[in-house]
Amino acid sequence: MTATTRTARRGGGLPGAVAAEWTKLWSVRSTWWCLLGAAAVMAAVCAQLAVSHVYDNTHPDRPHPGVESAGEVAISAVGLVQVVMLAVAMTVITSEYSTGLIRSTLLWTPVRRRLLLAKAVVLVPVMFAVGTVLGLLGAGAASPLLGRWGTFPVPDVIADAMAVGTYAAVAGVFTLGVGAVLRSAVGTLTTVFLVLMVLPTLLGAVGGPGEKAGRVLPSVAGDHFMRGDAHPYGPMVGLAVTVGWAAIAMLAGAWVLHRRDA
Amino acid sequence: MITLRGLTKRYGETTAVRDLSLEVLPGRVTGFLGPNGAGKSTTMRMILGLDRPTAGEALVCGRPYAALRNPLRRVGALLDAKAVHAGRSARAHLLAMARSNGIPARRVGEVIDVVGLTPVARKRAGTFSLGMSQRLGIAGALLGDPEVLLFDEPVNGLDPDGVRWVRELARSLADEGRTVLVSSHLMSEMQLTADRLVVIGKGRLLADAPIAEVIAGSSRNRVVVRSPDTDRLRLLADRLTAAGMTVERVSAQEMTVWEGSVEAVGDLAHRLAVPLHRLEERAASLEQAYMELTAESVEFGAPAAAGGAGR
Ligand SMILES: Nc1ncnc2c1ncn2[C@@H]1O[C@H](COP(=O)(O)OP(=O)(O)O)[C@@H](O)[C@H]1O
Ligand SMILES: [Mg+2]
Repeated sequence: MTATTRTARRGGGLPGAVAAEWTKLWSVRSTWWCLLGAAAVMAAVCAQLAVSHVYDNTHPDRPHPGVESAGEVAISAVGLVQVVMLAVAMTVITSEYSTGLIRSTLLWTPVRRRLLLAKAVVLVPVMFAVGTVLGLLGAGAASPLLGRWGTFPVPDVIADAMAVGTYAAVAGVFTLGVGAVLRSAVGTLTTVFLVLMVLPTLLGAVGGPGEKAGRVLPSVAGDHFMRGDAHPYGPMVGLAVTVGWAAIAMLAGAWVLHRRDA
Repeated sequence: MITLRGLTKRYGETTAVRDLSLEVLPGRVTGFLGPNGAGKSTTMRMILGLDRPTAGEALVCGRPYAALRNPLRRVGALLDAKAVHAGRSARAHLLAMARSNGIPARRVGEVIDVVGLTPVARKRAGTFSLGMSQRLGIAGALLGDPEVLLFDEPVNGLDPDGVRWVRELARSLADEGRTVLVSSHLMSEMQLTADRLVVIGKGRLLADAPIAEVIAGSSRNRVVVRSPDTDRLRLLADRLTAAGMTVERVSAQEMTVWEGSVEAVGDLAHRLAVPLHRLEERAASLEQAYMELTAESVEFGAPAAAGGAGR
């Protein structure tokens, strides 16, 4: 036991918690199913968007959007696919509660803000990679269907895919924070779905002041970031707004985790 | 060492643990006993920093659990055997656990071996029986070679061999100088494992003493007296009652004396020249001592029913 006590100061801490979360993420099949599902939905939605893009251009009674980059199609798809993409980020926290594992996890890492931080540290690179790969996959699925109404400028498509990856990483952290507050998968999914997808549409439909208010929503800001819009604010402002939402969600999650019994 | 000071936990109206103060010392197995709902699990969760005390504090190795660096190397716990992800293998579960506290990965194989799960180490934990889950939980408790161990109802779901194995494990861990706290709602279990007993009922401390003292403190210790001379026996009964003892006539020729000693009864019988055919002291079984301690505090009604659960 003396040997144990002597070495007890080595290892562990935040790096240990991150290593444990990494191991946990890749040692359940559901992670792979989530990612596979997200990839399938992304490819399907991009294909669908490409087909309707061609339709719009080839029918006189439709608007004529012209030639589009396959990367932009992928970005448009994110608006519809994001909740599926974020499922992994959600299960990282909600499965702790649905399985009761949280009572083990908190014995390993009793400092609760450290646990939440470790989950975020794992999610950021994973979600960035997932978003980037899905962006490329979506562009690849759209490209052949776009035909002469699409282009595939490789550096731009890669930049677009990485923008999708960046948004996925930030939205993943946002989802993690919401999950830490609500604990249940259904509640988290509903909330994230409402905030990222329903609310922007709703406020957009109201128009005027509603639309203005919608600009501060994380998915709207993220969309401006990914498209590199100059209006109503620049892409970096868009990213900052999204990051702000993620930070608030994480702070709320850390607070709830700290306050409530496991 | 585990130290509780005025530990209290309320859930709304229910007070699960009430002003608990005690020390659990190293080198012995301390049995943590109480009927279902007495507050054993709640106390353990507070010791481990999972639940926040309403008042008071719980310290392990002199500090709150959450203040320990790499707590798994100081404290091992089996709380809820089902606190695992059903889709993760036993091995991966323990590997993640080891990594979180900088425990060498080879320990995973070692503890899997110790608890006898090697053949199923790569199977998903969701396919495990309660007994196997319990073994996985014990493997986790042992992983960091900790100096303090807490086991909450560890023999639940184990077969007789497993039960004996857990007893011997607890004993050997204590013999190595570790602090071992084992909870159970069954006295029969404690009798065979524990050196010391902490008994709680309705969240209150009822006893904190060596097992022998818990028995000695019981008023159920009694003396059985038998005599063919019914008149003299009645006389003896009257005098014993006058001396403050409680006498129960079982039959014309036999009675039971409570709150007295075999010496006092024997001396008096001699002075009254009562011919005795039997004079026997009957110590209360631990089970009886326990029933008596907790009779008032059994949460849901009849203590007699709880006695039936003792088997
Ligand atoms: N999370 C909780 N919320 C509300 N009441 C609880 C909670 N946990 C335990 N209790 C109550 O606290 C009391 C003690 O429970 P517990 O510690 O599980 O007892 P034991 O482990 O001794 O059987 C019981 O009355 C139980 O119903
Ligand atoms: Mg219990």
